[in-house]
Amino acid sequence: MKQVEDAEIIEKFSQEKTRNEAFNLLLNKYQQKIYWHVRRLVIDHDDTDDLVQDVFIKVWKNLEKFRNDSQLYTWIYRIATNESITFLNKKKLKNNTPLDEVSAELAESLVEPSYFNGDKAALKLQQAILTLPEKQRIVFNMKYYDDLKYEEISAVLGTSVGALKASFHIAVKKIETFMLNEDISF
Amino acid sequence: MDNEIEDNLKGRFGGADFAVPDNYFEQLNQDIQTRVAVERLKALQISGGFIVPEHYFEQLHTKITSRTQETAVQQPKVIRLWQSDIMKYATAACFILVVALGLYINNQQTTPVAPAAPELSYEQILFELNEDEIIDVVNDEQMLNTSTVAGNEEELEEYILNNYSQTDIVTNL
Repeated sequence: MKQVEDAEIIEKFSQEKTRNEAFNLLLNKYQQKIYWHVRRLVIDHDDTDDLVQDVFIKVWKNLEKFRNDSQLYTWIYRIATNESITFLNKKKLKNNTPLDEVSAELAESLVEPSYFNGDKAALKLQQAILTLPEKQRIVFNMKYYDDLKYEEISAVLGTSVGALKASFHIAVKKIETFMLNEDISF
Repeated sequence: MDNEIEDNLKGRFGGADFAVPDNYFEQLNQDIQTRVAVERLKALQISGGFIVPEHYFEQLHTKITSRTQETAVQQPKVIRLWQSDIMKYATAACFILVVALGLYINNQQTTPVAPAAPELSYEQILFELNEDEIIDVVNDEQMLNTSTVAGNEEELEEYILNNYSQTDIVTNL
């Protein structure tokens, strides 16, 4: 299926008679990417489902005002990242839990068969990623899984390219060490 | 022959190298190490992972579009009071003008017209003053004077009225 261009989506959305068609095209193009981006951060499917819906409702409400000063995908990604971070912060406050214990809670949920069906290496990789600080985890996921360029990640997070390169380098080193300690040979 | 050409070029262009960003080679070393580690990770061919319910993404699409339609219905129509900025500024200017005019008129009506003291006649001032006060002031003036005015109050009063003008009395009071 040929991917529609973002410019076409924005143009169609700007006109009331083609707005719904444009939004359907947008959902077809981005809903899975955004789902997986959020899922890797919050782990739980039901939480992800709520967040992804909220993200696209915000996109629907604000796409008319989108100024084209960034890529459409970057803009949607930014909304999704912010929603996920806000959700994780609320979870910390609600349970009065320190950050590292939130990550430990998320890691524990990985072993639930309803959540995860990967092999041992897949499980260890996700556990390794959850040991990373929140920002570093986001950077790792965006670079490793989504293969975004550093400039694109910079536009999403508002962090410099140099800092992102350093962050990703450290994240990879930590994951490598974790995997080796868990006898997952490279 | 090749050496001649190379020497010729170096002679003309000074053998300058291409510009390289600061700390490039240090960063390059780190970037290469990172890429190698990522390739090793990907080579594990980690399979499986998070579970997603069947037909989830089709249902997600429907859920989101339903919510957007609800949002469209719930939003009340916004009628703009001012269609342009000019109208907005004109309204603000009229409001300020009306308020200023109101304050001015109010000020004109409530301010009492108090006559200036010099405009009052001296007779009026003297009429309002107590005789004792007049005598006290005059007595203070006469403290340096060696001559004393003896006598009773009637004589004193006659003395004051004969020796001091109304202007003198009012000015000192």
